[in-house]
Amino acid sequence: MIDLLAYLLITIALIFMALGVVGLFRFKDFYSRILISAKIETVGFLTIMIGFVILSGFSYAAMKILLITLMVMITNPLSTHAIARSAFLSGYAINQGSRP
Amino acid sequence: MKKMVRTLVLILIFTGFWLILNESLAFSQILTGLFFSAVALLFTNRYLLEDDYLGAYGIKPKVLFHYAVYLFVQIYRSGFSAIIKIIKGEDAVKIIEYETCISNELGICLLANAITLTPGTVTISKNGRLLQILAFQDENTFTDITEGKSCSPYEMILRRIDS
Repeated sequence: MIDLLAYLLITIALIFMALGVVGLFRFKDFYSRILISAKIETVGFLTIMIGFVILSGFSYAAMKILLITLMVMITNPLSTHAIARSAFLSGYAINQGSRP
Repeated sequence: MKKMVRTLVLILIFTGFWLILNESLAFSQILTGLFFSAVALLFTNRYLLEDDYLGAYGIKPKVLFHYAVYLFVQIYRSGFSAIIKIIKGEDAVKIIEYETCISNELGICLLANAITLTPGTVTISKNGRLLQILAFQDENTFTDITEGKSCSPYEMILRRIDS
């Protein structure tokens, strides 16, 4: 039963990621794409890690996964922030790449 | 005395990380963990930070827990609304200039981190208390400074760092 819950969470995470990838292709503007890629990173990653923790049970592996999740949650926004900031400072306009 | 207790708590937390990474509860590992935790803290205080570690990263566990739970809920709420946007193809974005009610530097950084972690918003820049946020057009958690001031729920939690 617990395994089933874990596999369900992993499947939900993969669906989240797949929808994120669809969004990346569907949206044409750089800034909307970066907002969607941030979604894949956080929601997908968090859900898949929770699934892995449940699958691992109470073990060192589960605790390591939790530590990795914590570290990624702290450092992950930095990359998104750095890319968005550099585009903004370079003068990349909003909706520059959108369809007419 | 209070500072010593806080330092000891930090050393114990870091030792916990060490034991998890080494997958062992052996006495030698505990001793090694305690040693390296103390050395890491000492070096951080002496060479990496201008301020004291406890002064720079002092946050109450209760505030941190409240922040983490609220962030967790918001990540999923915004995640689902982002899916609807993908399906509908709503890709209009805007940049909001937002002045935070938080005065603590750590609190502002945690707020910027939470904004970027929440799907649909990314912090572009931070200048003192002024944040520039990239968001979808219908995002209304953070109001532009031109539209009047209001504290977001994140700030209500993080303001308690100062108290």
